[in-house]
Order: sequence, then structure tokens, then C-alpha cells
Amino acid sequence: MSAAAPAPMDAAARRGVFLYVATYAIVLSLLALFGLIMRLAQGGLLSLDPSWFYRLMTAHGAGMVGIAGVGSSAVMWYFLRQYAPLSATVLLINLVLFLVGAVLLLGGIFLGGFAGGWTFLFPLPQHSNGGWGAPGAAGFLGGLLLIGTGFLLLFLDVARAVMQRYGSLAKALGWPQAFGTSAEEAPPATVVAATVVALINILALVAGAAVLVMELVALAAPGFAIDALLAKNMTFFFGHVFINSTMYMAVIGVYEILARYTGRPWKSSRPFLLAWSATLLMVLTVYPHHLLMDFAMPTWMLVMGQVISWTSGIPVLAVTAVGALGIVYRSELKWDAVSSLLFVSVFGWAAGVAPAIADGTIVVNQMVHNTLWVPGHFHFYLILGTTAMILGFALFLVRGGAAPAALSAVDRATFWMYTLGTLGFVSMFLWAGRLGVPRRYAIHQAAWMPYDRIASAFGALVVAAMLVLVTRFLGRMRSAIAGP
Amino acid sequence: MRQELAWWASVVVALTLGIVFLTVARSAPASPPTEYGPVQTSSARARRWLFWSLVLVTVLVSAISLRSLPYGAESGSSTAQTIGVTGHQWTWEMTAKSVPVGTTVDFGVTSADVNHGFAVYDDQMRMVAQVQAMPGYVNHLRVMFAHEGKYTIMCLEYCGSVHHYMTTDFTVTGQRVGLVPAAPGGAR
Repeated sequence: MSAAAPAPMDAAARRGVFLYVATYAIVLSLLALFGLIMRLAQGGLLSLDPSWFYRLMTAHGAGMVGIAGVGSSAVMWYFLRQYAPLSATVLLINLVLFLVGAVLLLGGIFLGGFAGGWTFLFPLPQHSNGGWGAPGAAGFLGGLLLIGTGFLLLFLDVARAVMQRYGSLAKALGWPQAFGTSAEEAPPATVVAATVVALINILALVAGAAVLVMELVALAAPGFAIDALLAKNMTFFFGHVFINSTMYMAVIGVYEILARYTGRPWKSSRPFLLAWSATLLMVLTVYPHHLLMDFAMPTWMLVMGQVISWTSGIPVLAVTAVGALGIVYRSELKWDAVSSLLFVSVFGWAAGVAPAIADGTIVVNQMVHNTLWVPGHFHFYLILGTTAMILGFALFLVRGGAAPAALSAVDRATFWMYTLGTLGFVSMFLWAGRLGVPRRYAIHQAAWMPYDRIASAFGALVVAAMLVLVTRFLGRMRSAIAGP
Repeated sequence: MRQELAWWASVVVALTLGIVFLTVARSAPASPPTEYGPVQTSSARARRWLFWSLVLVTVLVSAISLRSLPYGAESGSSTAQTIGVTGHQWTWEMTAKSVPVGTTVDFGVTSADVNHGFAVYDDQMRMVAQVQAMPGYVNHLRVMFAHEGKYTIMCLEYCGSVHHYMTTDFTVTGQRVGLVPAAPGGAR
């Protein structure tokens, strides 16, 4: 093992983490409002021109993926810094690139009129049929490229830091303990998860950057054609891996904070190490489940997509969910806003896996692909999983060294608004998806509107609860930033 | 049917997990506090049990569901009627717009511009089958039409600012000819 000592959390690093979470909190609130506006418009409760609906949809989709990356990487970085010498400079460079990229991206959407969706499937950005021009598309694609480049630097730094601290990536993944007979203690859970995230994201971001560059070239030189199926593969490989990695980064908060609350360490046991190594392979190979209706794909890849969709749920349920339940069971955990959000986030992740796996099953996918079932499953584990984890971490940050405060009436109301609101909100997506209602439709048929309206009511509850939590974080940030 | 299964399976999983999480959250700390060791032993047992249960379910579901894939329609029966489908922003061009009831149709689906999604809905607006329409590729979707009536074709891949209006009709005429088994690429 390297002799490099873990770097202490100096003022610059601490400020950097707070900046990340503050950016996350503000952008999350804005994009959640965009989402609510879209559901209200689909329900006929608000008049919104379709061109604006699709712009909001593009901003909401791309923005939520990016901001989930910002929030969850703050969680990972904060805790990984205890074990590995991460660079605070790289942390800040990534944030600067993110902000510049976001300005470009939003400029492309709201000034340039780009509404090609976060998937930017070739050749839609270049072929809007009068919807938007090249400057709008270039702003969006260029902005996304800058954001991806920043994250690539961040994950390269994570890989460097764990290699410096543990000697190799294999050691940081705990392979000597998982596959060998090493008696040495395995790296902490945080290090294992962060190493997996760095490896998968380096590959995903390179693929994403490559397809973005190809799209930009195609925009500048209309004769330059990309194979549409290849572009789709690259987009979904990048998108699938990146959004899943946000969960893997955010769950580090559960590992670290619940362990502190209960006094029970989250050990890197052999099953834990094996589960994360399996996740490393599965998250890289499962993405064809996004292409199950592309019959031109090799059948073996689509079958692989289904089978790995099923197996990839096993580590989540059998290791992380059981681990969280075991660490809390009959412990002396004190319930406050932080521990409640973190605990429910594991439920959100685990429960959200079921409709996701269903969607990854070919014969089911043929009935629900690109229906509202799809946003139903990913909103399930993104709102009640990833977002709850990051918001729990945010409140943990501003709590500083203080002891957990008992749940107040406001805390309880906020928690249940958030939890039940999310369950109601995603249920309406799933129910409508079950009926075949298409996703990404600005205009809904009258028969579909009742589900949109019920979803809007639940969505309003979620947004309200989110705003309470965000306001609490921002209100306490200034004093907490100077704290221990 | 498949959507129903997916819905109820998701509900059952969520409810079961909800009950388990609530039970654990409400578990009172023992006095004196429970040692973590015995809890870890129980957790390890639960994890092993859950792991093998999930493996078993995965194997069973895979064995059953992978037997009826919608792929490979182009190499199947030659008795199917072929209909060419080309997606354009924002219309569907089809070489035929109606077939007699009982016909098996092999839709050869492609796109002249961007990605589209070719989805067939019945007269109750229930999904019958779907496939992607991609520039440069022809995806073959086989559907057996067991019921006469007006079917609706909708675009299920976002394709620009008029995506939601990219629909057309498809008519199945004549007498109903009995129940129809699911066919490759078909749904009813």
C-alpha cells in the first residue's frame, strides 16, 4: 500500500463541496419545477406551446442527469477525500466547466430553440425540420461536451488518487481480498464504490464525448453521416452508465453516514466486494436494454441486455438493501431529517429496481418501451433514491458537528410529503405506461389527462418538500461552511 | 397481459420492501443495545437466501420470456403480407393501409430522416406491438391481426416539434376469424 496519507479537508476543499451542493440544490429546484410544468401542461391544466414543452423537456432531461452528477460527485468526493489525496483544484475546474457548459446548453435551448431531447439521437440535432437552427444545436452539444469533459477530469483524478493511495485499481477494488487470500483489511466501502464509478465513467464519458464530437462535425459538415444505430449505442452506453453512477456515488453517503449514526461500521465484506466488482461489469454491458426495440441489433446483445438487467438488480437488493436494513435493525439510530432521507433512499433504490427490470424484459419492453412506464421507473429511483441520498447528505453537511436533532413536526411533514408524493407521482407514470400512453408527448389525449392531473398534484407535493429541504440547506450553508 | 404482470410485480415488490423497511425502522433498540455481531450473522443469512432466490427467479423468468422473442420476423413464414413503412417528420408512409382480418403482416419499418418509433394501437388505444424506425436500417415487425377495426399508428420515438401528431390509421377489414396465437413480432 502506498504511504501517501489521506488529505485533510482543508478550507478550499470544504468550500468546493459546499459549492457543489449549493449548485445542485438550486438547479435541482429549477428543473423540478420544469418537470411539474410539463405534467401540468400534459394534464391540460396549463397552456404551453409544444415547442416550449420540448425545450423544457430537453433542459429537464439533460439538466437532471448533469446536476445529479454534480450532487452525487460531491457526496463521493467529500468522503473519499478522507482516504485518498484528491485534488481540490480538479474539483473546482469541473464545477467551472459544468457552469460554463450549462450556460451554453441553456443558451442552445432557450435562445437557440434546441429541443432535441437529452438523447440527441443522430440525426435529429442536425435535422429539426424547422424547429431549431445549427447555433442552438451547437450550443447544446458543445455545452454537454464541456460538462462531460469536466467530469472526465474529475474521474481521472479519482482514479489517480486511489491508485496513489492503494497502489493499484485492483487493490482499491479489494480484489486481493475478494478473489485471493489476502489477510490485509479491504479498502473502505467508499473507496471500492468510488473506484468502480471512476472506471465506468471514464469509459462512458469518452464514448459520450466521441458521439458529441461526431454530432458537432455532422452539424458543421452536413455531408458527414454517422451510422444512426452506432450513435444510438454510444449515446445510451454513455447515458446509462453516467446516470447509474450517480446512484453509486450518492450511496456512499448511506455507507458513511448511517454507519456514524448507528455506530455500526459498513464493512467491505467479501460479498460486498464481489457485488461491486459484478456491478462494474454489469453496468458496462447492460445498456442494450435501451435498444430492445431496435430489431437490427444483434439478437445476442439484446438477450444479454435482458439477462443482465435482471442480474444487475441482485447486488442492489442482496447487498446494499440488506446491508442498510442490518445496520439499522435494533440499533440506537436517532431519526432525524438526515437519517430518514438516507434510509428511505435505499428503499427507493431497491423498490425502483422492479419496474426497471420489468422494462428490461424484452416481451414487456415491447409493450412499454417509450411509454410513460419508462419515466415511471427512473423517477422512482432517482427521486426516492439518488435525490433523497444527496439531500440527506446536504443536511448532514450543514448539521456540522452538532448532534442529530429529533424529528420536528415540519421534518415529519416534509419527509412524508416527499416520500408519499414521489410514490404517487411515479405510480401515475407507471399506471399510464401500463395503458400504453407515450412518453415525450407535449399534447395528451383527453383519456390520458386524469393520470397527468393526479401526477401533477403528487408532483407539487414532491417539489414543495424538495424546496423546504433545499431552503434549509441554503439557509444554514453560510454558517456551516466555516464550521469543523 | 404483460403490462399487467409488470405492474402487479412492481406493486408487490414495493409493498413488500415498504413493510420490511418500516418494520426495521420501527424496531426498538434492545436494552442493553443489541450487539452488531448477531445482526451481521442474520444479515448474512438473509443476503444468501435473497441472493439465491433472485438467481432462481432470474433463471426461471429468462427461460420462459426468452422463448418468444419478437426478433427475426424477416426470416420467418413467407405467408405474411409485407407492408413497407417509412417514417418522415411527421408522417407515416405505408405501402398498404388495410388488410383483411386474420392476416399476418410483416411490417418492414425504416425512416427517411430521423429516428421514429412505429407503434400499433388497437381501437381501445391499447398497445399491440412496436418497433423502432431508423434511417439506414429496416426493422421487421410481425403482427397477426385477429380483430377487425381501426388501428392507430403512433410515433414512439421523439422526433421533433410535431412528434405528438405523427399518427395515422390502419384498418383491418372483414370477419373476425378466431383467436390468434402470439407470433414473432406480434402481440395478439
